[in-house]
Amino acid sequence: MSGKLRHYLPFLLGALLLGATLLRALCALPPFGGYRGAYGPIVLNTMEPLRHAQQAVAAVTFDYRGFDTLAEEFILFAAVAGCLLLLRRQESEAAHDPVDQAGDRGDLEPAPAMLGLGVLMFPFTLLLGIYVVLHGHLSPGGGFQGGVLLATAFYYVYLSGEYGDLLGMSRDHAVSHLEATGAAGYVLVGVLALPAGYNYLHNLLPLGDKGELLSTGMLPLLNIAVGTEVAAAFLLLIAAFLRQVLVIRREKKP
Amino acid sequence: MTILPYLVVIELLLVGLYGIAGSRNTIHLVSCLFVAQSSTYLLLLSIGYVQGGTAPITDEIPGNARMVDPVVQALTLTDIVVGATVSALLLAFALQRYKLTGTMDPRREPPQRG
Repeated sequence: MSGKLRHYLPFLLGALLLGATLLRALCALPPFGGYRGAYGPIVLNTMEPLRHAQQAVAAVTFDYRGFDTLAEEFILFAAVAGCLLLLRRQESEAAHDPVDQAGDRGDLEPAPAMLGLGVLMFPFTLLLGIYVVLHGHLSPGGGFQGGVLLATAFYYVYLSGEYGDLLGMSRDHAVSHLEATGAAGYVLVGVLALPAGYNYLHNLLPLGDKGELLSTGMLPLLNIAVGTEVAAAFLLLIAAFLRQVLVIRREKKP
Repeated sequence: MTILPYLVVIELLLVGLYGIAGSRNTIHLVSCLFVAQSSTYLLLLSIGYVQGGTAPITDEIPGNARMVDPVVQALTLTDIVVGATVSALLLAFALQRYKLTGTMDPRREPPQRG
């Protein structure tokens, strides 16, 4: 019995500690719906006069906290680079032609319904992604959300067709150049202000009319840079994981 | 029940932690980590909520309307992006570990060597 107690003692101690910490944190939280943060009202009151912006989340992400978003973008960049580094072909492995995992089904053609759905969904998802990226400063959305949508469009190609179709669309070097362009684009848009003697990411473009597509200065440019990077990054990720399943095989010992 | 959102946050966190502690499969472990992390999204959004507030988009909204806090919403966006990419990185690690050791069970894997 005492052995069992000793077995559970670390758990009990940890659970007690966690419970006490959570309870203390819960008591210190503001009542639900009664939050009065210092910065939220400042953003809401200043974004229209100073930036002609109407979407506060985009204004915070790409303007008030634009420098933090640069770091966030590079967290994504580094994580994807790490993934691709881990998922490259190892010395003990060899790349084979893509193998159908369900070999017993023979050479089944993709069902016409699936093919039709893919043909229908691909352009619309692509359009929706471009729309969400370009209107990120006006409506809910932006580079991160739109970029994921853009990458999703290419998953339809894989789902309704063959692995080879996706491969043709995501030639690795082209997509990785695109990803690097997106990441560098954010840096360069910020650097533009430096020679003129301003701070990093200082707005140089005209602010435009409220609610117009071309407004809020550099915000749409940053959205496009982030959207390009996120779309390319997710495309590279899915291609890397698919390659692991379909192409890379462990080299058989002779 | 003004405390309900916070209770759901704690429930999500504990469910995620329970899954991590008892996990026998690395992919299951990463999923549980994601569940635990999703509690932080809910926590941030619950804190930023203002009674009767609308989305912080001022287009065609009367000037005196209450709006929820945009700063914590932007933080949630960062949280989601980082969470998704880190999950992908962990899954890549899990895949290569499986190739090396032949097991998905984190308890049966031999210790890592530098």
